[in-house]
Formats: sequence, C-alpha cells, structure tokens
Amino acid sequence: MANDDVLAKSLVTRRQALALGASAALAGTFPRGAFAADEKVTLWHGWTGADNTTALNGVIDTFNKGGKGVTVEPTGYDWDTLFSKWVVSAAGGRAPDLVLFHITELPEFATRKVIRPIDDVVASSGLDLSQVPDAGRTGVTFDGKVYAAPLDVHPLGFYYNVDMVQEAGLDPAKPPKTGEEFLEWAKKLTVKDGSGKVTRYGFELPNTWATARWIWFSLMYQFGGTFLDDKGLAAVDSEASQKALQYLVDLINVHGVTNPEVGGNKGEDAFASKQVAMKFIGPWEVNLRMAQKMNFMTAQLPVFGAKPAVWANSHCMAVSKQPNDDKLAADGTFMKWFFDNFAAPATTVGIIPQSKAVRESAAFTGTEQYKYFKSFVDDLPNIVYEPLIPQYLSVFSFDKPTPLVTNLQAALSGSKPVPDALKAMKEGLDAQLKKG
Amino acid sequence: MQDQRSNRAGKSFSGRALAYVLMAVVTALWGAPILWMLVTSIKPESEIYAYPPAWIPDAPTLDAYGALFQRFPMLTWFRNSAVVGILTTVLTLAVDALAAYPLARMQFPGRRVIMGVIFATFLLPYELLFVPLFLGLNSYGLVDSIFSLTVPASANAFGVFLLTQFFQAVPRELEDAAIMDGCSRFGFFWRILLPLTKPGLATVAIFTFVASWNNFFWPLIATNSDETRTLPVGLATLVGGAGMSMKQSVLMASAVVATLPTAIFFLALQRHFVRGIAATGIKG
Amino acid sequence: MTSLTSQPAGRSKARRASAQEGGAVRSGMTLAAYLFLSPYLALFIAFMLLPTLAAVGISFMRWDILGTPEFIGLDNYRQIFADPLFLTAIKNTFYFVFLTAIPMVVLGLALAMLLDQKLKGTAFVRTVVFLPYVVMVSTVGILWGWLFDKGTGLVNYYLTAIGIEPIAWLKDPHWSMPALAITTVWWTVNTNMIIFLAALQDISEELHDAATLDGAGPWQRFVYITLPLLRPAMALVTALTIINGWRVFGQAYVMTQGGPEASTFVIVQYIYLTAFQNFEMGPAAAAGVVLLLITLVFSLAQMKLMKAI
Repeated sequence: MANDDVLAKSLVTRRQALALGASAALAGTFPRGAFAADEKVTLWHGWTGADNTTALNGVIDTFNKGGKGVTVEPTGYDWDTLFSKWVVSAAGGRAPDLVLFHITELPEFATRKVIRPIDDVVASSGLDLSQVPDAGRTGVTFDGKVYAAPLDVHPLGFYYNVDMVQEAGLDPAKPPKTGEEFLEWAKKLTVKDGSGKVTRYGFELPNTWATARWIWFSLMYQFGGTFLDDKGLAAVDSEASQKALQYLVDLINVHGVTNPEVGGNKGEDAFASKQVAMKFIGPWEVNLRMAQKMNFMTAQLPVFGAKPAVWANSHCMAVSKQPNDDKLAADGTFMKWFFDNFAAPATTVGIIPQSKAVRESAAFTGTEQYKYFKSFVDDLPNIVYEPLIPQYLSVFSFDKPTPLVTNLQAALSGSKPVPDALKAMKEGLDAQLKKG
Repeated sequence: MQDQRSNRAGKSFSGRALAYVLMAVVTALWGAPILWMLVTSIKPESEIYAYPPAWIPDAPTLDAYGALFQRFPMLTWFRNSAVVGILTTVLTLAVDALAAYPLARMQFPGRRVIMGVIFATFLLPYELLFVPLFLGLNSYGLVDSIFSLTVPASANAFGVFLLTQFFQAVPRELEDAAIMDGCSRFGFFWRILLPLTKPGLATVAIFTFVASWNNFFWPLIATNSDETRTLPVGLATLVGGAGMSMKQSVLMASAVVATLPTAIFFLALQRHFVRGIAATGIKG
Repeated sequence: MTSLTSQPAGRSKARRASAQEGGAVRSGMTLAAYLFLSPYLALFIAFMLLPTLAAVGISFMRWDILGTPEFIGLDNYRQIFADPLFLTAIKNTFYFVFLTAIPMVVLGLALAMLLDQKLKGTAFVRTVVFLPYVVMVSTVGILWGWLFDKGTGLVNYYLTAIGIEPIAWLKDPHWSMPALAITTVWWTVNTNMIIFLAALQDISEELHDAATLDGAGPWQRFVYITLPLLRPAMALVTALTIINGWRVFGQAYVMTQGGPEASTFVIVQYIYLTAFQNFEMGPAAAAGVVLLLITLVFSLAQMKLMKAI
C-alpha cells in the first residue's frame, strides 16, 4: 500500500539520516579541514616570520584541498626552539610526523635516532632524487642511507645599494668579482662627514648572529683552508683560516670600510637604514628588500682567494622515528608533492630549489624575484657546507657563547689578536668535537 | 627629599614646582618607550628607519595591524591566552586564599615548616622544573591541554604570601564573634574574610593574570600547535628565524595588541590595587 | 619578613582562656587548617615539590632525555665548575645583581616619595610608571633592542643631542650589561615603588607633625623617622631585587642572547642551553641546584644584614 511504502521509505530514510548524523558527528571530531578518511600528518618547521609562514601555510592549504587523502597540520617555531621541542617531544613519544630543518642538523638527529632512514619512503612515493645535484644528495645521506628529502639551497650572495653605487661613480652593472675590486668599491662607498666621522660604511660585517661567520667560512675555503682537518678536529688555526679572518679584521681596522657594531639582525636593519652600502647574505632577504622598495641588485660572491667558495645551507624534510609505520605512506605523499611543487614557497621564502626540474621551471624563473635569485643560482657550483657532524648544534649554534662565537667576536672587536682568537677557538672546538 | 604630605603647613612653591618637574621627567622617561611602540606600529615600513627619528608619522597606516590579523591566527592565540589567564587566576585565587586562611589565622603543628617551604619556592628557578614537569604531564597525555597551562602555575607562592598578610590584618574579634554565633570556619572565610579583603584579592588577581598572560617559556614547551598556543608563543613566530629581518611595524603592532588586555585589566583594577598594598601594612 | 613568622592575628583573652579546653579545639583546628591547605598542598607537591626532587635527582645522573638515566654521583657538579662558561655565567649574573640592586631600591623609594604627595597628577604618573610591568619580556627585549641600537636608536639620538658620543650599547661587551640593567629598571622598578608607596602611606602624619614642631627639617625627618619605619619594606624590596636578579633570563635572551663575547650570559641561560641545546640534563639540573643555593645564601645573608643594621 502506498502508505506502507511511505512508512518503509521514511524508516529507511530515518536510519540513513541517523547514519549520516553519526558520521557527521564523527567527522566533527576529526581535525579541522579534514575529510573523515584523511590521514593527518603533523609538520614542524622553522620558517617563521610573517611572509614565510603565510607562504608555507598557503602551499600546504593547496595540498590539503587537493584530494590526496592527507591533511598536513603545520606548526612553526624559531629554529632553536624547534630542535629543543623536537627532542623533548620525541622523548615523550609525541614527535611530529615530518620536520623541515637543515641538512647540517641531520647527522645530529640521525645519531640521536630521532629521525629514521627513508629509502623506503622515497622508493614508494616516487620522489625523484636524480634531479638533485651530488652535493645535495650527499647532504641528506648519513651512514649510507637517505634520511631526508633535499629541498633547497641558500648560499651567500652579494647585495648592493644601486643608488649609492651610482653616486660613488661606480658601475652597478659591473659588480666586483675579485678581492681587489671589492676593496675598491668598499672604499669608494664609505662616506665620511666633515669632521672625518664615518656616516656610512661600504660593507656590513656585524659582530652578532651568523653573518660574519658565514663570510669568514667562505673566505677560509677560498684561501684553500677547511674547517675540520682530516682527523675531524678543528683546523681553524690553519694559515688559510687566519688569512681569511685577518682580511676581515683589516677591513675594519686598516681600511675602515666596515664596523662590527653596525648591523645585525635583531631589529637593526643597516642596509635599509642606509648605514651600509653592501652586504653578503642569503637569498631570503630578496623579498624584504623588494617590499622596502630599495633600489638594490644582487651578484655572485667576489673571489678573494685562489678559488671561488660560497657558504650555503640547505633545508630538507625528514620523518621522525615513530613507534609504528602507520603514517609513512601519508608522509611520502606529502613529501613528494612538496618537493615537486617547491617553486612557489621557494620564491616567497627566498631560497633556491634543489631539484633541477623545479629550479628551471617557469614557475621559478618567471617570477619578479628571479632577476635577484639568478646570481645565487649561478653560484650553486661553488657552495660549501659546514661540516655535517653529530655535534652540529653545540658547535655551530649562533647567538650563544660557544667557542666559535665568542672568539670570532673577540677577533672582530679587537679584544684578541687573530692568531690568539683562533687558537682559543681551536681549543674550545676540539673539546666539543671530542665529546662526540 | 621633599615633604611627604603636601597638606602640611608651609609647603613651598619651589618644592611643588620641583616636584612637578620631576614628575614630568619621570613621565617622559617611562612613557617614551611605550609611546614609541605605539607610534612605530602605525608607521609605514619606509618611515621606520628614517633618521632623525620621527615621533609623528607622515603617513600613518593601520597596515601592520591588518597584516597581523590576516596572516596569523591572532584571535585563536588571544582566546587561548584569555581562557588560560582567567582560569589560572580563578584557580590561583581559590587555592591560595584557602591556604592563606589557616596560615594567617590558625595555630597548628607544621605551620612554620609550611611557611618556610613556601617561601623557599620563591627562590626556585622555574627553568629547573621544566623537563621533569613536561615529562610527567606527558606521561598522562596532558601536554597540549588547558590543564597543563593552568594548573601547574597555580601553586605559586606569591599569592599565598600576599594573602596571608591581608588575612592577618582582619581583627580577631570578628572571627570570634562569628564562630560564637555558630558560623563555621568556612562560613567565616567565605562570608566575612573574603569580602573584607577584596583589595588583596584584586592585587593577587592582577599579578596572577599578568604573569599568566605574559608567560612564555612554559607554554612554549607545553603546547604543540597553533590551536593551543598562547599569545606570547604565537607572537614569537613573527620574528623571522634565521636572520630574516623583521618588519618593525608588525612587531610593534603585535606588541601593542598583546599589551592592551593586561593594560586595560590593570587600569580597571588599579584603585583596589594600590589601596590594597597599602592595607597590608607591610610593616613590622 | 618578620610578618611571615609572626603569630596569627591577635591573641585575645577569650582565646587564651579557651585554650584550656584546648585539646579538642586544637586538634579540630589542626584538621580544619589542613583541610583548607589541602588543595594548595596537593598542587604544590605535584607541581613544585616532586619536579624539584626529580630535578635534584637528575643532577646526579647522566641523561640525554632520549636514553635511560644513569647515576654518576657528583660528576655533573665537577663538570660545570670546570666549565669556564658556567663560571662566566656566575660572574655575569652577579654583575647584573650588583648593577640593579642599588638603582632598583633607591629609585623605587625616590619614585614612591615623589608620588606620595597630594599633588595633581600623581595617579597619572604612577600609572605611566607601572604600565611597563604589563609588557611581555619578548616585547621589552625587542623594543629596547631597537632603542639601544647604535645608529638608529632613540637612546643614542638623545645622547648625541646633549653632546655625548653614540654608544654601541648592545654590541660592546662593556656596555651590554649596563644596557640590560637600564632596561630591567624601566621594566620592573614599579613593583618596588608600589611596595614603598604602601609603606610610606602607613607612616602616621602625627609623627611627622610632632617632629616638625620640635624643629626637625625635612632631611632629618627622612633619616630619623621615614627610613627606620621603612626598614621592613626596604628588606622586602632588596630581597626581591636580589632574588629576581639572580634569576634574570628573558631580557638577556631576547636582547643580547648572552653576547657579545658572552658578556651578558647568565646562569639561567646556561641551564637552558645545557638542557635544551646540548641535551645534557644532568649538568643543567646541577646548575639549577647551584643557582638555588646561591639565591638562598644571598637572601639569608641580606636578611641577617638588614636585621643587624
């Protein structure tokens, strides 16, 4: 009968409604933005700062909505905090699934067994590491196994204020390529007032944070030195290393073209406030300078020594060691996607993609920023990484009174002559390196 | 120095003038940095590094605030800080007041020991406790929860110490009378003692709320996601790590926004507050 | 501090009389006391006492947080005292306490005396001076980090206006700690001011009037009436300043990160670094215990000293 049918239908409908309601309620308990079937993956990273976070979150949002069945939840921390929290959380069995960090920290986290090898993940997800140059692949390999997906390179580059260069009668289209040319520019760009006081320095060499160390590192290798000797102990007191540091100290005291008290990174922006005309820093400042509407240009790092060498670091993404392998497939899915779609975040954050395919794609080369990124790309064959050692964090952390930092600061400020500073540095470093 | 009571006969004009000058100097010295914070937050990025430094922006803009709220889950962080702040304050007041009553007004064995131990915790460097506390809470699955942000902070010595002072000032006779009238100890506590010591409670409330709002290192360790972060932890991510130079205007805007609630809270309660400290009679 | 250990509020005759019937009343009171105390004690034991004992225990172990702890006796203490960085931290923190102690007390008192007067605007000035208290440490660090910048900061701008050469406050190891001290005073002298204000308001008018009638001038009244009556407040303020000074961390961390050349590296930063960068829990805990002992010694010494004066 019609009525019975209607009743039967409505019963079915009610049961269906109940099922719908139940699954809606269940869906409500899942993390925001997830479909009931989506795998949730937590990602921790150090890309803090308004633009970086927005860039990364935007990219991840695109991925989450792309129907891959995986939802990534990113959380940003400043780098020091990231590493502390990662280890403490791992100790408590609550490590994040994926972490975005640097290849220089990889040996430490691999040794502490906080991350796991991902040869299996690479294979099953189809991540194509053949696009990555040798140096990049070596960087993510530890003990013969691949531990992370290499994402980008960020070498030091040479930024100069075009207006100031033109004012000084120099040609902004012909930036210095050698040490002598650089010194000439630095001298011409240093401006003094009537009483002989310097009102603008040609070059920025701040005594805080890491910039001075990276520059010294590059020069050390340009002069033929290395940071560690072949026994794994510090070689910072070598002739090449002393020559490099003395060159920088001479820039301060002999040529007067720079001052370690000017600049830094905590709120003082010597380049924007026109206190310096040139600086060496990574590609991540490109977007900032564009936002500040500065008339600037970038070039490759000048070669002060016998051969080119440019400090660089790389970001990579690794998988935390977890009690089970449940999330592995989801991790791999995101990793591969992120690796392939790296052009957008790279451009906004200001880093150079490792993958040749991505780096040469229109998505990367067609941007406004590319004209500034190009010189960094050109310097890629010349990069040198800091030693990839398990003691990386305690040896190389910046803005902490490590032997490396305090003695470098002492040399630049003049508290210690260069040979003494380097000798003290070697002693301190060796003590740290022997702790293993 | 000067006379303490200006209604004393014979207060000189030059004395008053000097006092006003000093007050102006003090206002300038203490107020200037805060004013600078406000002014910077409405300057466009290009004016930030102008030299000589300008107190009045040429082209004031609220862009920094816009950027702040658009790009960061400010409201989520705000909500978390507010919830944590209020819960912590209420819990602390309750627990500390209950504890201060016997310490202030009762004789019992162990009183001296407990007072001593509580005082000793003043000296404790909290950083010492972070790791054991985190691992302990973690083993109960309480990390990343409101519980671990509010409850551990409530066992603080300052509130107990201050409330003990206030409670001691209430005359014995009131308590005796209430008890003889058949009032229970808790009744006296709730209906007579607390209302009489409102300034003290207000003081502890202000200090506790401000401390909770501004607390950084513990929430940093105890929270894992933007959903549960409090404001100071969230704002720390505004500072580009790894030397990415920061936009001062956005930073200062975040500072203004972060300071506003506690400033308002303080301004609203400050009448009770100073009267309150005075009423403790911090004397011999 | 005497109020801490004083007897509970007033002993009336009635109480003393009923103390005879004592037994029952007293044990009833003890039970009541502990009932009232129980929530606090529960929280205290769970979240302060136990972690402290755990931390002290860790100070005798080697533990990298990921592996299992092993007992190594006093080795951690030997390690930190052999570490020049730890000794530098102690020296620097002592310097900080030294730099802030006198200004925090004297300025706190001076501000209180200035604002204790019944003049128009004292409430406003009091609010302005107190406002920095509600600003978070990271903001204070960033704000003053900029104010102290050699080239673009306000401090040097106004110094040059009165003819003083700009100082590289946060980049020069000689000036970094003074810069931190100045920042700290701006940020927290207000709590000392409030304590002194309260104490001043308790000093009775009549005392001053009587003294004036006897011919005492303002300075004499200050020295012979005000100061002695302020002794408890003075003791409290000094104790708090010293304790907080030894525990300084936030401003140093944000403004100078312990530099330049380790000139502002303080004990708590040592603990933080050792625990959370080097993941050496044992030495970090040992350093924490040492800090606790140092603060204890200084507080006790200061209290004895002030009682003796």
